[in-house]
Amino acid sequence: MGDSSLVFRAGPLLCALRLDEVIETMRPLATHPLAGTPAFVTGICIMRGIPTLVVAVARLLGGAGADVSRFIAVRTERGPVAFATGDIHGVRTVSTSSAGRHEALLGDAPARLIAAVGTIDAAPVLLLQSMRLVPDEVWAAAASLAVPS
Amino acid sequence: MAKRTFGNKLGLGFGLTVALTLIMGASSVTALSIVVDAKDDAIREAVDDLGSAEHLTTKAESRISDYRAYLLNGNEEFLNLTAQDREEFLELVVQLRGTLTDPETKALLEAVATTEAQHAAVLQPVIEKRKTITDLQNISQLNATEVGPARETLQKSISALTTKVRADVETARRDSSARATQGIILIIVLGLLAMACGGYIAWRLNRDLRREVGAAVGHIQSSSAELEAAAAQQATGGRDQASAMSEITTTISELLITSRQIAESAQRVSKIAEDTAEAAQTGDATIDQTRASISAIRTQVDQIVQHMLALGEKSQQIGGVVDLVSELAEQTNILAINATIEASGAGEWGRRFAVVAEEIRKLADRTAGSAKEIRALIDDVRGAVNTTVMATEIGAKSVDAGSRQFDDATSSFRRIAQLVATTNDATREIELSTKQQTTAVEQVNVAASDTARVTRETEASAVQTKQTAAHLSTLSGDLLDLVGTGRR
Repeated sequence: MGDSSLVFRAGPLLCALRLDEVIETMRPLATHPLAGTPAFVTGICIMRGIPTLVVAVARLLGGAGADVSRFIAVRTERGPVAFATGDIHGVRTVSTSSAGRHEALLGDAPARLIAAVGTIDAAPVLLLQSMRLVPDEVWAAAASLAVPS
Repeated sequence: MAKRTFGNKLGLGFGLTVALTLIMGASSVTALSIVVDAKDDAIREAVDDLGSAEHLTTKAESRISDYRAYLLNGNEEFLNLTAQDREEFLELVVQLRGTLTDPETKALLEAVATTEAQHAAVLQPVIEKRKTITDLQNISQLNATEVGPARETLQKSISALTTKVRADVETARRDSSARATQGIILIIVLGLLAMACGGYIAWRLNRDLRREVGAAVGHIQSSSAELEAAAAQQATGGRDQASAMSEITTTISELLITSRQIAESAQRVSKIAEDTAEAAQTGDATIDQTRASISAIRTQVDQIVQHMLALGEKSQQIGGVVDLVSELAEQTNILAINATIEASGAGEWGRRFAVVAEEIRKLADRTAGSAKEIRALIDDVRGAVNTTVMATEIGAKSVDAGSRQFDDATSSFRRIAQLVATTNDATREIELSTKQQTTAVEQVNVAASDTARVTRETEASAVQTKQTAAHLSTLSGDLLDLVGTGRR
């Protein structure tokens, strides 16, 4: 058994987010590059009137860029963040198990991002957790950018 | 005399000879006239003066005889004869005064007249006294002692006159003989001079004759030899020319046959050209039909292009509609997902709504997929339309190019037709020219035959000329022998 998750594609990978972490989906918005941020932070956009960081999920997980067809607004502990992803496959139930949380596989740092690894039709699905996704220095850079405005 | 002709020289020589002969003749006539005059003078003196002088003696002696006879017989007749004799004597004296010219002789004549007058003066008293004497015994009374000396004086004076006149006659004869001698010498000198001139002229003429005529005859002889050689060469050349003319005649005959064949070929070519011209006219009509067909093709191609462009526009419009549908499907998809997300936190109703929203999302996905397929099909259609339009435009351009090329081909064909017409005319001209050429070649053949005949005649003439030149050379040698130069 598993929770209902929003399944989407990030480059070659299938990813999923729990619906309670998802605010909404939308088309990609205009994004402004942001200095002093990691490579997976594409920049900042204005979502619903609020400056929002944009994180490229494919770059975050695999290190390589991929086509962006959707933005997914997710909740974090410091506010909403826009995930730049590929096509959205819909709301699915991702089956996870304790064996899926493999320490040797997930490691320390990614473990903060990937909650578990599930499967859909025998295809691996990375179940992401968005709460601690963005480092503090990124938020500081976004804050410094937001102060003048 | 070097530049004069030999005839001039001969004429001049004869002229000089004739002139000298005339001069000699005139001089001879003049000398003979002088001699005749001198002889006439001498004869006249001998006849007239000497005769008169001798006649004076005769008359004196006759008077002496008469008056002696009167003194002897006292006959008056003798006295008259004495008077007559004295008158005749005085007439002779008067005559001699008119003819004598020498002063000395005239003086002797005057002495005769004086002595005669003295004799007459001495005799007259004796005669008068005799008239008174009748008896001859008294003759001694006459006392005629002075008559004898007077008579002797008279006779001496007459004799002196006669001697002087005879001496004058002899002098005149000698003078005349001297003049005759001078005339003879002059004539001999002139004759010798004429002979010398004639000899010189003959020598000059002989020398010039030998030099000039000999040289000319020598030249004639050498020229005759050259002429003979040239005639021989001409005869040889004539034979070669005759053989060459024979070959030329043969060649011309072959050329005549070839010309006739060319004329026949030209005639056939003319017929073919006429057929070609007719075919070109037929092809011209076909070209017009083809041009109309090409124009129709061009119009159809234009219509195809227009229809294909309209099809492209319609496809583009369909694409716009499909894009709108795809946009709506995508938007629906997003809304369905967002509805699902919102419904997930809304309890049982939310889950039901999420099911509906998921179905809506699936429909939207299917719609989007169909729209995408339609879009792909439309893109394929537009690509095909574009390809078709491009192909059609290429075809139109090809039709245009083909039309232009056909125009070029048409113009070329018409040019060919014109050229065929020109070729036809040229072929007819060639045919006519070839016929004229055949006629000309026939004339040339006749002329060549005539030339061959003339060449043979020329060869015969050359042989005759050679013989004549040889004969002329022989005659030149004979003439050189005659002139004295000798054969060369």
